[in-house]
Amino acid sequence: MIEHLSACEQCDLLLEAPILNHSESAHCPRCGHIICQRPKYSLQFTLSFSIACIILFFVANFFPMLSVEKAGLYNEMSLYQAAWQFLELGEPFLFFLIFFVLLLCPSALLLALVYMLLPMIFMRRVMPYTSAIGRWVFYIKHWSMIDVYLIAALASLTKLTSVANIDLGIGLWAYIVFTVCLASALANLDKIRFWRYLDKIKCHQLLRQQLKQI
Amino acid sequence: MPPTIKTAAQANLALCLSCQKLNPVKWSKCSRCGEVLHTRKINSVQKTLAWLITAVIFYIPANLYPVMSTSTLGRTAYNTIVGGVVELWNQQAYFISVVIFFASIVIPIGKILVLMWLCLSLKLRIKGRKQERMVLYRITLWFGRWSMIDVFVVAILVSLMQLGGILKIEPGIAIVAFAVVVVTTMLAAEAFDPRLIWDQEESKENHANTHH
Repeated sequence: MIEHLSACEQCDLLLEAPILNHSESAHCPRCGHIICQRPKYSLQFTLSFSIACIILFFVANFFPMLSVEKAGLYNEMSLYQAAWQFLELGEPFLFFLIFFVLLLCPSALLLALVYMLLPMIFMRRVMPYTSAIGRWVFYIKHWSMIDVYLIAALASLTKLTSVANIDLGIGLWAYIVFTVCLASALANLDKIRFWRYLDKIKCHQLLRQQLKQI
Repeated sequence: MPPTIKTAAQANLALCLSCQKLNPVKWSKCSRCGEVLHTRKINSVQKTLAWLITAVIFYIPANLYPVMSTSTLGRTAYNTIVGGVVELWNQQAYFISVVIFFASIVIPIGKILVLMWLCLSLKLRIKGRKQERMVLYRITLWFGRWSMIDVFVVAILVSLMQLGGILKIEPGIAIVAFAVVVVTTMLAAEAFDPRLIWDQEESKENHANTHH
């Protein structure tokens, strides 16, 4: 009985668990909250975009994003320096905050997704601590502010170009693609679908173990 | 299922907010993901109000003190949030001026007012306009992170504009206070439980049912 029921996260209305086709989504009849979404390729897409993101994340961190030149003086910055500079100027709180929302949170999110999804999709195996990691992924998803930083960078560019000579580096282009890939990876990651898929793989694993014993 | 039961709580079920599985209320942990279960978020209104009051307190120094100082050829100029917006507007940098105006003034004040109103409406047991309140709540939840733009703009300026004596930008104390405002308002929005808005109606209906 309880398996066929679901409830709305935002208004607690008791519902029959929705069964969805591809590219459909279910809305709560009372408050309109999206209960469940089923994109076309769901978790496979999340996995492939996450792997692309990890590569782009390295490029964005090791190549300069922006460089400035004025009266013979030159300076450049890459992604991690946005946080690092605050530590050098004696602002540990700002360093920690920016480090968390721009570097730690997205990289932890991506590593966790690859760690969980790669064995699930290709080997039908559940890695240890998947439930605990999965819980954390959905909590910190909200705190990765990669897209916000992109808008901030574009907004400050419009101003900076009038003050000094600004050059856009490879890091910035990598960062823009990284933002798009991360958004696609997270858009295809539906909470309900993820946990149901995990249940399914757990069943597969259990059946395999029982077959081996016979 | 009797027609009087409308919500999971009335059916003695608790929804796991982490994996969306329904569990019997008496279980302390979710049977699927191991998350601690509650029918409603614990002390939701108190926590939201506590974060909001912190945000209001920190928003005052965030506006009074300079967010950054610009040193050009030995002269140092200090910018506050409002001063920066006005200055950028006067320099015809309209786009960044509008973005910072929204990120650092409209969104934080709007968020604080909306969440305060939502908490107040629960205390006053207001039953109407649930749909509108939900829309407000969702907007607050979604827009919260975008206030961070202001902190990021300062971060970019500070790490890029380090050109010795010609041009040097350093962060001011107000940007720390503003970052605290952004974080606390986000935590306030997360602590709020929108299901409490809908519980008002349920209690009224139950009341009506007992009278019939």
